[in-house]
Amino acid sequence: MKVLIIIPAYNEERNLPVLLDHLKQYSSLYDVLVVNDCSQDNTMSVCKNFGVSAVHLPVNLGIGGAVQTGYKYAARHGYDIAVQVDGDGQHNPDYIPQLVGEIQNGADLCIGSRFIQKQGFQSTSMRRAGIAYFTHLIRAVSGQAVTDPTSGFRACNRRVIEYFAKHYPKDYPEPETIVHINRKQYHITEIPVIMNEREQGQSSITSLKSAYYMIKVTLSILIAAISSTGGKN
Amino acid sequence: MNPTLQIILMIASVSFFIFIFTMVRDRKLDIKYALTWILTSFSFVLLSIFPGIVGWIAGLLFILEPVNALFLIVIFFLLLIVFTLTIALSRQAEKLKSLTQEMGMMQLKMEQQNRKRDEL
Repeated sequence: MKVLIIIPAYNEERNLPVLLDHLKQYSSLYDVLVVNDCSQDNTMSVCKNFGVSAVHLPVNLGIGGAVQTGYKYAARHGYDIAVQVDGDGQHNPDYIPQLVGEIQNGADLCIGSRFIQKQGFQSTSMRRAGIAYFTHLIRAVSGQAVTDPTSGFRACNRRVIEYFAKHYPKDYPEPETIVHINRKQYHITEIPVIMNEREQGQSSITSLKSAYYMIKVTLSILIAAISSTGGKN
Repeated sequence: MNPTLQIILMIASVSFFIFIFTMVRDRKLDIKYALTWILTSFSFVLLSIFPGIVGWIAGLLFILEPVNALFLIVIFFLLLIVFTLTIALSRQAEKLKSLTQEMGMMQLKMEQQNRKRDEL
């Protein structure tokens, strides 16, 4: 089982070393690929110092483009399982074996959800309201029950890797991709995880962009719900 | 408004709306740019169903002929769309420039590495 851990990182010179250090204990089991989304800080030197495999994008693509780069790499190098871990330290690598286990047990996509047991960092109430909204919307249009649709902590198998390598939304991809995968009648499961609060730096979703985000993702989910299942292009 | 005209406009604007949706669904139109078009075509559907809105806007702006207000609205939306396109184009041009520069430098690096390897 070839497993790749995809770490999208934008300006994470402070959080990335902690994460990469934590991942060292898993180095015999999993490969790591950092996708440096044209960071303006020393993220690149952090990667070089740790000697970790990294793709340094010459142009900033955003979370969607960066993560898709990871999936393309995974597809090209024959990985069986890919695990997405945020470069900001919110995701605890100790849950990776469990996520991988779910995939090996037959799930196509497994999401680490912070809202199953409601422990650890639960995000702001504004965000939680937004997430609850998307949970209900996704269930309404696709019947898929997901408690944490915005979680980027997820693992997937070969056929999902190949799908994502070809089709991945550019902005706010997490909720929309759930609908895409559900439309292909793939199996989605969740496991409870505890997420950490973002320690340093800033999140890429500011309250200013929230309204735009809500409208755009709602539209994307609705369109995804009526889309053909990735037959064209 | 002439009911025949209204029906024609309704069919046209709804078809346009569906067309845009189809283009986005078939991944021929990126959702980011489609947003403005969806907003525009939805407004046209609304206007064709409730043509009184045009008259109301004409009154607000002290325009004598309601149809001139309609033109104003359409032109406004067109300008908005063209402007957002210009912004997007500028960003793309910048990214293309960066990519081109990177490619040029990568090619040089490869040539230098090949030369070094040939020398060994």
